[in-house]
Amino acid sequence: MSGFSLHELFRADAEAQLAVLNDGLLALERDPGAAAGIEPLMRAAHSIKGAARIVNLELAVIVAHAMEDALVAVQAGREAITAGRVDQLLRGTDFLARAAEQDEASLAAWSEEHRATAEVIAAALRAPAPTSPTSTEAETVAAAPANTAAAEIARVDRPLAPDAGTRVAEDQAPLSSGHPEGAGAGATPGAAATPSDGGPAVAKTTSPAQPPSANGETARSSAAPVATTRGEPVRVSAERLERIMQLSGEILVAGRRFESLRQTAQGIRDALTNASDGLRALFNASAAQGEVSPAEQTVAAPLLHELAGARTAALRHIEGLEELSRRIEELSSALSHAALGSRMRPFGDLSAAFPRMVRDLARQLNRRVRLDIVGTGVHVDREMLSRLEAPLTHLLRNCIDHGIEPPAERVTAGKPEEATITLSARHHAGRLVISVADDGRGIDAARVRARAIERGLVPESIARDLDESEVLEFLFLPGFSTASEVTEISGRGVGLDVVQSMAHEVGGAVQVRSKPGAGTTFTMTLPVAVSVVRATIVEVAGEPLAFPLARLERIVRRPSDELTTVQGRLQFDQDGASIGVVDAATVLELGERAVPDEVFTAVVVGGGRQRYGLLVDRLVGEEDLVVRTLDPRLGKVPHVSAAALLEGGDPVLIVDTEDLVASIRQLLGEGRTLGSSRPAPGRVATPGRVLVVDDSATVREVERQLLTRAGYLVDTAIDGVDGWNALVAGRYELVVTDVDMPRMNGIELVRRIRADARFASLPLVIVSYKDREEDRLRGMEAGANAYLTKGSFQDETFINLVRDLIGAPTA
Amino acid sequence: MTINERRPAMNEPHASPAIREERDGRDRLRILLDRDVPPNELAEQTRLVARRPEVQIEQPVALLLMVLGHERLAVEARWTSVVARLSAIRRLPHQQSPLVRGICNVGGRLVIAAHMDRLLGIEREREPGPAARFVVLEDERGPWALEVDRVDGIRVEDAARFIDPPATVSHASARLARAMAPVEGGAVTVLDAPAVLGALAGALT
Repeated sequence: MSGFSLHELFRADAEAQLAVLNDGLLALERDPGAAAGIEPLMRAAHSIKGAARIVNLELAVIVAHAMEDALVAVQAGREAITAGRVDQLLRGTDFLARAAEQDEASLAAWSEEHRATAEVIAAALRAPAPTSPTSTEAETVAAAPANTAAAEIARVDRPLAPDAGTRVAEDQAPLSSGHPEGAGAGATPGAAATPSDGGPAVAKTTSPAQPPSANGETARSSAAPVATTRGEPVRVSAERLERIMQLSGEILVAGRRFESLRQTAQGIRDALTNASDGLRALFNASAAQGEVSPAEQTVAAPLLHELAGARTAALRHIEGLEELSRRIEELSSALSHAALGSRMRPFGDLSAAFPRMVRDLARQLNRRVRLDIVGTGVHVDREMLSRLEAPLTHLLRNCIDHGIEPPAERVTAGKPEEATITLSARHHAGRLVISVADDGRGIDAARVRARAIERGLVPESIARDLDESEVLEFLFLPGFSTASEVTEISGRGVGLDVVQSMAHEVGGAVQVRSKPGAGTTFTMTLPVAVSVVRATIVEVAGEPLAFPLARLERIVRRPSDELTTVQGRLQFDQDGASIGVVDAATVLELGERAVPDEVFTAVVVGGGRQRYGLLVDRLVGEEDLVVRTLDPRLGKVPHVSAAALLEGGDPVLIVDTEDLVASIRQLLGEGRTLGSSRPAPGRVATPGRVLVVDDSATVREVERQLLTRAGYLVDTAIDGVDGWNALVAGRYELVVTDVDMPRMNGIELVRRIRADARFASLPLVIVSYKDREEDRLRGMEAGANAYLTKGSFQDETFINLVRDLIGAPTA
Repeated sequence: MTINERRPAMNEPHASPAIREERDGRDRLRILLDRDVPPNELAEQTRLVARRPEVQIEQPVALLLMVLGHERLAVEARWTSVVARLSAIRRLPHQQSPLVRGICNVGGRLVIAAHMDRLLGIEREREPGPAARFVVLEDERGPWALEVDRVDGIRVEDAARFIDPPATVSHASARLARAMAPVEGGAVTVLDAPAVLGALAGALT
């Protein structure tokens, strides 16, 4: 066995069975008539009971046993399944999950502490099924019993028969409930129908003498970590998986070296052939002229023979090498793909937990909700999947708590009583698109606007001019909530900013669209970038660079005389449009451009009217790259999104095309031409010119208007990277920046600016919603001259500060 | 196989002088190894092998010995994770730190490469030759690939015999040198690995 303890085996087993219970119970509740659905649930409860017994998890045995009995009663038709019973069964499932989570060291203490809870759950399951589920909701919050066990249940459970608690404590003996359960493993009946029963089978797994089990399921559970069934996930640390991927890539690279070995061997064979043929010809010619003595013949013949033999041997050797090289290449390529594939998991792995959560929450809030999940089979990078859990949980909670009306209100509005939330995942244009849509009441933009003004986030005069999509952006600000009362579920101000920051962290975006009365849709557009990307490789200043194909318009190779200068800008014509051209080496600060040949090669990036050509040295090829994040110690490297290893094993940087387009726009916008992108040190700033950096269009607009009204000239940038590019290209007297921004945050931007001698004395102001002292300190430490909160827009603080720093505008 | 099978036997008259010499050498070696060892010689050899080293090592420390330019350097082996053949180093756009060379592939890992020569103020007159290697230094913050001209292996030395670096050592390396270690063939500058890693980490901020 591979170092897994029995308890770990139990955990793995329980996890799978609990998932069956969870899903099955929800399905059963939706369709109580489906008696066929009960069988697998009974089996699952039964399996957990058996496994728990093996690891001496007595409390789990108690609860699983009671669950099994309750399910048996339903199956036998002695009881109808009710929502109340399903609740109890789900509570049992939760309890089992918690039991499985405990580590072995703390298990005894945990068991001691939770014995009463287990008994209460079991007793409730043995008592007649509660019939009026909704009546209990109020009671759950109202009464807070003093005793811990009861209190724990109270969060989730309904009232119990007062005497129920004590009765089941020793309940290990089978109840004659009609289910064929022997007291011990010896009497395992109907092996195929009752999987993984039988403690002895598992307990003896270390014994080599253990005969093969007739029951496939038992065999599986006894060797769980080694021989898992197809499609069943196993636990592997992400780090180890990453290492496997790296090594499989290395094997691929090493395998390719065979080719050069083969070529060398081929050279040797050719040399041997030449030498052998030449010698033989010479010898034959000499012999024909009678110049070879018999003694010489005796010596030369075997030598010539040996030479011919060496040639043949070399040939065979080369054939062997060739075959081995091909085989290794096939295998290592397959290994590499398999390792890569192991990073991907179906979206369903994550979404499986949501129906339960939605159901519980909806019941708690007296809503009727159906959750439709679309795209469970969509493959998502493991990393992305784990990052998505918190934001999606939040969005779903948000839907139920804020979006969906109570059933009566829905009926009045002419909608079906049952609301629908659709969670969908799909790949679109090289991005992973995840959306959460409800058919609830929608978001009242006027209320959001009013709230923003009330909270001092935006002056009223400006708020009036914001359109609906701009107004909805306020929802993503930390601490922003329109909920009139704080509920337990949401509205505490811990909000949608979680969703936005996750999206930003991975280089994606969130969008909200809402139609009052009809519903709200949140859409997250995320890169699939944590996995594989097909890219075009070009060379710039001797360095290979990868441009993701999805972001690349085209590559052009044209005679250099088609490159013309129009109004001081280099450009060429493409499909009747003029495409501005810049030199990649200059933009990326990798060196100066090589002297153009007769032909130039340009990568066209951007789209629509904003297409630009980047002059590169040459086109290298196209490859599927396994994307690796750059070492986080490097921070955000401008114009680079990630790195990868090329087929030959050399590193390559993957270009952040959007970032690059933004830089080119800035460069060309400044009317500067090729090769002069670096502004002269010590250049003079344009008086009164301010750069505003913020990812929120609303805040940008607010700041722009405030500054413009005061007479300053304002340019805006949408994040740190964009801000830096603008700063390098432009001439500013002051930079005003937000802190929380995608790609490069405000603190990183301030540090970067301060680290550059050109901007050592440039005044920098941070304006953020974060108002804690430590945030302020962090900003000042990075090198900001001032740190304001966004409330400062309300009064003159902001403008006064700007005047203090750079004086009133002269114009 | 084919060649050997058809090769004339060694004792054939036309066997070359070189082949004959090799055969004679092998025979002599066999005779030497197969002979019985005289009892006194065996005892003598056993004593020799079992003898404790004359010099006791008080504070053993494993050093990775290397050469950069004209300097002989060492670093405690526990700070090094890999010694690898050189591979391409890719420069990073907009890189402003003079110490950061770029990123390189070391055993499938992407590692930041640094200018060891600039860090230590050591001049390298030549391009790296075939003996040049990456030495990867690593602490909890992460790995750094440093190019050196040669790696001479790992030796256990006695830290008690280390001496302070002389005042004449250039400024940059003085800050990063921990001591001088007397190693056969002269003294070696033992680098202070945490200080080197600290200086490199500082180059990134």
